[in-house]
Amino acid sequence: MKQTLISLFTISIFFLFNFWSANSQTNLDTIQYKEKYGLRLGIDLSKPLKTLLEDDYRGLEIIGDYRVYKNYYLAAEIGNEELSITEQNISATAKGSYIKLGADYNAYDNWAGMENVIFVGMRYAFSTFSQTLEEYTVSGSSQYFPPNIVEGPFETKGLTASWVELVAGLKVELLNNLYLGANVQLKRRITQTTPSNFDNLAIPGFNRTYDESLFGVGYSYTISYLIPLYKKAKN
Amino acid sequence: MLRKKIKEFDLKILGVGLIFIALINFSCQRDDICPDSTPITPLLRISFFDIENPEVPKPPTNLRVKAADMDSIYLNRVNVSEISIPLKTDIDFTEYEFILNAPIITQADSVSNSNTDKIRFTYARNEIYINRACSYKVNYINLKASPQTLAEDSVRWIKNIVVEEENIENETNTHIFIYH
Repeated sequence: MKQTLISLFTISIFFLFNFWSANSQTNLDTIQYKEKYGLRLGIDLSKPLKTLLEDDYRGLEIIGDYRVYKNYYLAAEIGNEELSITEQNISATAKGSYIKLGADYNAYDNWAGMENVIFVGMRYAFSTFSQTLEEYTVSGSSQYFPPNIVEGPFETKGLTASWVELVAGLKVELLNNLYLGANVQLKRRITQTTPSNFDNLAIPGFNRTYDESLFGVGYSYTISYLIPLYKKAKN
Repeated sequence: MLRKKIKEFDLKILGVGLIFIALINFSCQRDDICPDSTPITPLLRISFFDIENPEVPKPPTNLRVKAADMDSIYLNRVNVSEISIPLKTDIDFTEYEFILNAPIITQADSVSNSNTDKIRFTYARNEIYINRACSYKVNYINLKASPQTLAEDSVRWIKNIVVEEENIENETNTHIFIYH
């Protein structure tokens, strides 16, 4: 017991010294340090994972950003999704593609040698999709007759929607140029076309909709790789 | 030593944003339940009047109401001058039996003076989307009510049927007047 404590203490001291010396070394070349600028490409990990785990979901999203100036990035996402919504009395599937274009601002002031990102961003998003009414039960105030369940599918093609997104998240450099990230999105719909005598229960890229609200939410877990194009001194 | 120089202002924006998103998500869970206040498929409202005195409501005695093709009874031995009954939403007609002086069910075999009249309601159906919780409702248009002849029926207790509202879109007004 005593021996373990002693060895633990020694190891801690050793690490502490190590840290100290390592840090004082990096401090030396801070003045000269250059940051990488380039194109970062990746995918949303949550979508392929959900495709595997959930029967009624299929989706893929490619993400990318380009560092334009200091802490500012141009950012875009392109994706394709098939989302199913099952409510108590109705079920529907939305199928289609979407694109999101916008910018991110890195609010994190890295110390030398690190290039992590804690960001807030805005997107304009556009989706073209189809909405399929799979099944519904006609709502009646009496249970006297057996429920009238109407089975589809009734598909409406050529629908569109557009919205703006507020994004907040982080990207951590795990290995050299390889980033793991997570973000949450708050969406507000601007326009949408709906099937006649029906509504969009979900929109690819927007996720499920809410009846009395233009807002939607989303999240992503991302893995991306930075292709460095040039370096520029940090100031 | 592990000092992270995060600009305080930017962190605040991030924090407020995250809380906002959480609130939105939380407050929007309610629209999965169809509230009672939402108008769904309306019932057919019927009022009974005296044939001798058409202005005066007259409740039929011990009225039993059941759909012709159903075994279960919708209303049994009621004495009211107004009833609301459901119409089928999957086909364009519903047939109902209106049984006057209905016997108590346990004494069904005993001799009674019950009188069964059958009415066939025909209509066109208009399905209207409400929302994700309430799905669709049906409004009935061009309602017609016609008495059906029953083999064992010698005397009809229903003397006259008047369709007051051809289109059944709500339950605020009576749709059918029955005189007896």
